[in-house]
Formats: sequence, C-alpha cells, structure tokens
Amino acid sequence: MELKQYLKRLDGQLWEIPKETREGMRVPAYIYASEKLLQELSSDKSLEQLTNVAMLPGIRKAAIVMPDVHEGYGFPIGGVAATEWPSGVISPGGIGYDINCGVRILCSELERKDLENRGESLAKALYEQIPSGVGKGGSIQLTDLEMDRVLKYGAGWALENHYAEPEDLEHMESEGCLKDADPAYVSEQAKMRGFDQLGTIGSGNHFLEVSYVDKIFDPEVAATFGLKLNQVTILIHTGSRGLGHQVATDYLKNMVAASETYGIHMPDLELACAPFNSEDGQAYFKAMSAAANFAWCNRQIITYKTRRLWSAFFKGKEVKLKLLYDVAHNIAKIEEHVVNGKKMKLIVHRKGSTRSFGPGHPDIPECFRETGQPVIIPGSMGTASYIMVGTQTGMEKTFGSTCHGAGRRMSRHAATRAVNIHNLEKELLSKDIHVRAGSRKGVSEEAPTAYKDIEEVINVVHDAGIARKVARLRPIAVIKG
Amino acid sequence: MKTIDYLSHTADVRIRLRANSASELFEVALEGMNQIIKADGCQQPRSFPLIKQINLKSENLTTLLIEFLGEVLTQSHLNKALFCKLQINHLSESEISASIHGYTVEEIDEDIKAVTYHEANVRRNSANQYETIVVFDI
Repeated sequence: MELKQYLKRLDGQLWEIPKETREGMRVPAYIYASEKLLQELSSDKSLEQLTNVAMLPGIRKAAIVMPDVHEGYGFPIGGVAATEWPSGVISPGGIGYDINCGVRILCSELERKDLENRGESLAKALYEQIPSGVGKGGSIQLTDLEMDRVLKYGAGWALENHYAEPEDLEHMESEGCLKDADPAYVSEQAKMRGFDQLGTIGSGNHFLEVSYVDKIFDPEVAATFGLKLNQVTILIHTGSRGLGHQVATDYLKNMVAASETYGIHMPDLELACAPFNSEDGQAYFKAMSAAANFAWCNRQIITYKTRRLWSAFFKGKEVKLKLLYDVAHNIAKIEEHVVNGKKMKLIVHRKGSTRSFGPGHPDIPECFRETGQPVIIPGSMGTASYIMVGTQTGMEKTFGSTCHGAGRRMSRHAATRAVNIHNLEKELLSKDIHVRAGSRKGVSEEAPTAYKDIEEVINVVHDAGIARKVARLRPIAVIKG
Repeated sequence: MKTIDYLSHTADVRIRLRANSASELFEVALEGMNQIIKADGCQQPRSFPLIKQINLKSENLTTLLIEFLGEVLTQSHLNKALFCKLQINHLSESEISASIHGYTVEEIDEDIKAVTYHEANVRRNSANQYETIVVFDI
C-alpha cells in the first residue's frame, strides 16, 4: 500500500495519515516534515512502520514521527507513541535495543582559539583515552554486587564512586536514575555482557565530539544555558552497550511468547507488547529502567575520563567541564500530559526522539524552569549540531518530544559505495575537523552524505514550535568506533 | 541451493535467505549473520575449539529461527567468538537442539546489536524453497 497518497497537510510542518487508512489503526499517524524531507521517505518503510505503531492497544492521540524519521524495525526511528497508563501496552520495540541511547553536552571555559593547531593532537589523545569501537571493553570491571548497584542507582553509582560531581546529576534527565529499576530482572547474560563496558563509546553512530559554538540564535536562553560564541563544548553520544541490547533481546522474546496470552495481535512481531500493568509489562519496565541507568552511568564515566584528559591536555588553562544536560532518546517513561483537554498519565515511548519539556515543568532542573529544558541534537560527522530548548507547544503537540539527530537517508552499504574515503578525509581536514576512528569503513558509513540535511530537520521542529533553536555547534575533533 | 541476498535498509542490515530445507535455512542464516560480523571469518578452513549447546523452544519456525540467531549472537558477544559450524541434532517447527562450533576472534567488522523479528516470516516460496527476511539492528 502506497501510504504517501493518504498524507494530508494539517498545517505548515505537520502531516497526517488518517486512522481510517489502514484497518487496525486506533489513532492517526502524524509526521513532522518539510516537503523535501517527505520526498526522501518514499524509498523506505517509515510510513508503513508508523501506521503499524498506530495499532498499539491503548495508544492515545497519534503515532508521531519527527523530521529525522527513517525506517527502523518495528517502530520507525524518530517515533513517539504514548499509551494510556496503566492498562495500555509497553512495547520493547518502541524503545529499541540500545536502551537509553542518549547524548550529553559538556561546556568548557575554553574558546576555539585555545585549540588552534591542537585539534589533531586532542583527537589522538581522546581516542587513546576513551575506548571506542566494536567490542571494546573499558578499565572498570564490575563485580556482581557493583553491577547491581549501577543498575539500581545509575549515575548515582558514579557519584558514590567519585566519578561525578553532585551538580552533574542535577543536569541529567531523571537525574540519571530511573527509580523503577530492579537488577533482579536483568539476566545474567546481560550483566556478563556489560561487566567491562562502563566508560566505552561502542561503534555505529556513537561518538565523542569536540565542537565550538558558532552561532547563537537566542541570546537570553543561551546565557541561561551558559553558552557563549566560540566556546568549546563536548558531545558524548552512546547508550547501554551490550547490556541494553541483551535486555531488549531477552524481553522481546518474552513479549512475543506472551502476546497471545493477552490477545494482542500486531502486524509486526517486533511490536510485540504487553499491558503495562501485567506481569510481563512490569518485568520489562523494571529491566529497561535498569539498562537505562547503566547508560547514564556509562556516559558519566566517559565524562570523568574526558575531564581527566582535558585537565592534563590543557594544563595551565581553565579546565572545568560543566555538564549542561544529558538527554535520553531511546526510552519509555511514565509522564503526565493533556489529551483531549484531560490531564492523564501515559507511558511515553521515544524511539530516536528527545524529551523536550517546556518552561515550568516540574521534572526539569530548577535552573531551566523558566526557559524549558536544554535539548541536544547532534548532526552528522562534519556538519553542525544544535542546542535547542523545550517549549509549551511541544508539550501540547508531541508529548514534550522532538527530533534526536539528522536522521539517516542512505544505507550504510550505499554510503560506503558512495563515499570516497580519501576525498572525505581531505574535505574534513580542509574544514579543520579531525577524525579518529576504529575503521575507515566506519567513517564512510557515517559520512555527512549518508544523513539528511540537519538544517532542514532543525528548521522543521523550530518552525513547528516543538523545540526552539538556541545555539549551533561546529565540530573540531571527532572520536568514533 | 541456499542463497543470501543483501537488501537495502536505511540504517540496519536486511537479508533475504532461501534454502531447500529448514535445517539448511538455519545454516544459511548463521552464514549470513557471520558475514556481517566478520566478512571472511568463516571462509578459511580452521579448527573450532569452542563448542556451545543450544536448546530452544519457540512459537513457530519463524520465531525459532530468530531466537536461534539471537542466542548465537549472545554467545558470540560473551565469548568474543565467531561460530562458523552448526550441527543440528534435532529440528522441528518449534524446537531446535544443536551445537555451534567456533573460535575466538580479536577483531570484528560490525557490532550487531540484535537479530530482530521485523519482517521475519519463514514460508515456502513458489520454488518450494524455505524463504524469509531477517533484519539485523546495527
């Protein structure tokens, strides 16, 4: 079925596929996109996947995708779905295998000129210090007891063990810990996969990037966030590593087996789910929360290692690295939102989508209560990234959610074929961008051409009002797996 | 004849598998996954000192295949190994008992996060072969 023909424009950036389009849809599908971005969707299965999501039992309002949407497995990437709490379903496919994949930004006291002619040596030093790449373990090896504490307390474990400052935790979504986590629900295999992975970046699209602020769009909010023109910043993008992958694998298998028990028949097995308040739903939620905590701790350990290196590398300069904020983009959370004029608790699934709570929300740190929460949108390697701010419009339209990146437009295989690695390396160097990666293939796969135009994606969410531009970052050094 | 076709997917890896029997389908699925993990890892004749038993029950042949691949992937991660050889002792529509034989590897090409159920559907095609799609999360 060619779903594009059913698209109706609701307003400037918002398109709808009505719920009558496919049998089984319980709500309409909403797509935030420009016409250009919609064109790029024609070659993949994003819209079909989105209409499948609209069939989840208990889903409210709409199945939504952001402009960085592309096909995934089960949910499309860039997807948001909220189901009614507590009887609506929770679906591991709505979170994905890399549970709490997310991104944080550290703000330095240095300016771009402080890094002049030092980009390459900084990239090399970071690459040597922070483990990245397929299957790379870190220097921390957790005992069974410590693993359970990481899973229970997340970034709190890092604080307890002197890998964090108290103010770091205040600047993380959920303060770096989901309280429902229960390590007893995480399998031994998952724990074994994670025992040496704290403080590691991994591979794929995960990275550490040193950037600088090249443009300020909203001086007032930028000042509240502590962002200044030419300021050097660091982005850290990774998740729960093998531990999270195993948790998702274990529980999806359970859900596939259990779906029949609950009389749930989804058009795609990857959307297997169970009522949130069922035994299966609760078991997954507790395990997912534990894996999310592992991810927050992982990003904090990388922060600790980065701070140590930064102090040594820039000896004699002001070396403080302050955490501005840390956001999750593969997660399910219980949140309150207004649907049809009625405030209600929902199970909000974000699969490649960032929480973007607006001003006044009690769940965001007090220092951002007047502005809304910082939203970090990394671009592709070699292009810009954005710092945005959450809005009230986002609260009303998208369950306080926005995009999470540029979004792929080309397969890894196609990117490898399309990109001449030597030309790409030259091009990046000509822009004074220094890349250190485990493999040239990995660099080709993540080349800017493999991604959508970040400016186009950002303009859609900004113009739709679901997040607002604050500042733009340009890369200096990129560390990849 | 068993075949593996690599199909387009925007972010992950989608393959189409065809085989003359269910057991051959499991073999070719393992081969397809190994080619993603380490392209030439199973091509050279070598010994396989690492042996793991896999005993699984599932809903049907489709879920059994995906869960079998998922279990092999888990063993590959846990043992930092590549399992090239499959010896099936028993295979039915919903049950498999087999041993996988492999060796430890220093480096791999691609870190597969998971074997997904997305689009998986083991069926007989018009040539009466077993056929399915498998999508790997990369």
